[in-house]
Amino acid sequence: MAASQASLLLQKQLRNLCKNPVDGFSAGLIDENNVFEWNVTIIGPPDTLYEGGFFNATMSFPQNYPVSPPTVRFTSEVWHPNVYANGKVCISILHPPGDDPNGYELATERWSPVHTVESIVLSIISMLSSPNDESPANVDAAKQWRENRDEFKKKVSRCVRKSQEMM
Amino acid sequence: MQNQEGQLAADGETEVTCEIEDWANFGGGDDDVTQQQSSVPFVGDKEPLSALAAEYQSGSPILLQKIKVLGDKYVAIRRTRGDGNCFFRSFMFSYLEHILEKQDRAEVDRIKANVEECRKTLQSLGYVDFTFEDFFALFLEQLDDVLQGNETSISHEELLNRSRDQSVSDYVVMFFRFVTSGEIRRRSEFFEPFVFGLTNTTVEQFCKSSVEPMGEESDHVHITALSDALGVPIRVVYLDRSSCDAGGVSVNHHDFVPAPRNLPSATGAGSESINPFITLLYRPGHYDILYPK
Repeated sequence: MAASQASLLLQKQLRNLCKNPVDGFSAGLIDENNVFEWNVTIIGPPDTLYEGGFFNATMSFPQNYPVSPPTVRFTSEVWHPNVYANGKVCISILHPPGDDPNGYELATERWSPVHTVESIVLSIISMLSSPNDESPANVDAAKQWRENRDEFKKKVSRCVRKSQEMM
Repeated sequence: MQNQEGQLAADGETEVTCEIEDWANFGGGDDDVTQQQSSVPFVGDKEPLSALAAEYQSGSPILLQKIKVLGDKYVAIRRTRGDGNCFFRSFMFSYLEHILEKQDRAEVDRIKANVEECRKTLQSLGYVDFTFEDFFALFLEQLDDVLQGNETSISHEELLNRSRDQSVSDYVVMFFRFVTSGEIRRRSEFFEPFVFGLTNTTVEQFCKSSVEPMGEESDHVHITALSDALGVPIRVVYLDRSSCDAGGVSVNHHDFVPAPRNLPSATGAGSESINPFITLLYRPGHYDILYPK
């Protein structure tokens, strides 16, 4: 039953996003027969280091969505303190219930079913604009962001260019 | 509760460690009930009160004495899993079991009106309908199903099965979490000082971090809000190691009585002589269901 509830909810969101697209990203299914696997393209937000980039990511929803969150993984290369080397996005709202990997997220927003594809992607866009180097997923990127901003910028520019070539 | 924000993550950490911080179990922590975790079903079987005493056989004499006192008024206990949702799950089963056993149609009609109010509250707070409507629908379905005489009516055994089935059980817990969050936000000026005293955060942050997410433990703020929103009185009996100097032990309880306008009409407007049909046993960090004699 949970799986059918989840797929109905995801279909609803898909229809909504097709009817009312949101600025800053586009979203669709990877395979139209599987509503649990989405492909999103996030446009690098203006006035940030990521401006001009088109970053692809996959969103994988669990069968018990929306009780548990999806995982989001960039398939484009993204150099960012909160993105693991393998592309997995690490933001507090994507941590499964009860899972508090860093132990100090007391006051931060956690996963709850109020989150939709739209609100998740908007959170990722906001993460691109303002990295959180207190709980880095990519320690090297976080260090560079803190200590060597010029090198960090260069590396991000390369990612932006690469993402444009892939389009 | 202290704020640990200042404590930065160690730089060497590259992989998520997934350690659950049992922060809601503040202060107390003198109990191992929260460690039962998955060995207990979401909702357990009804057990005689002696099963509770057995747990403390070699433990605190104060607790054993208190359990004896409990025996004057209560006959049985039903445990719930200590997964952070135990308050909501205890409330769910206790409430639906009451409706099933008493076939209290007036109460069902009453609570349905409150549920509709809660729906309006969430809408007016800006929640998108599709994020909560499935949870609401599933709870309303359970209400109809415990009333007998419908095609979809269920037995007590089926109620227990559903309460143990993750997809139903978690959805109903989420329904309560939405209702609780909506009530706290709707009356944020009332709840603000309590929330601040508890977590040092704003109402908004509290709802996002401690009410809406599954697995976050409940406190008196949650209980007050749920009781008010649904108009259901709740009795909480406290079992802890506190004792009075006089030597005798007594067991305290607190009745959460919904704000008057939300009261079931049958009990009248007077605040006296409220007899909650939901009784929960609180041990530091955990709630179970208690059955009166």
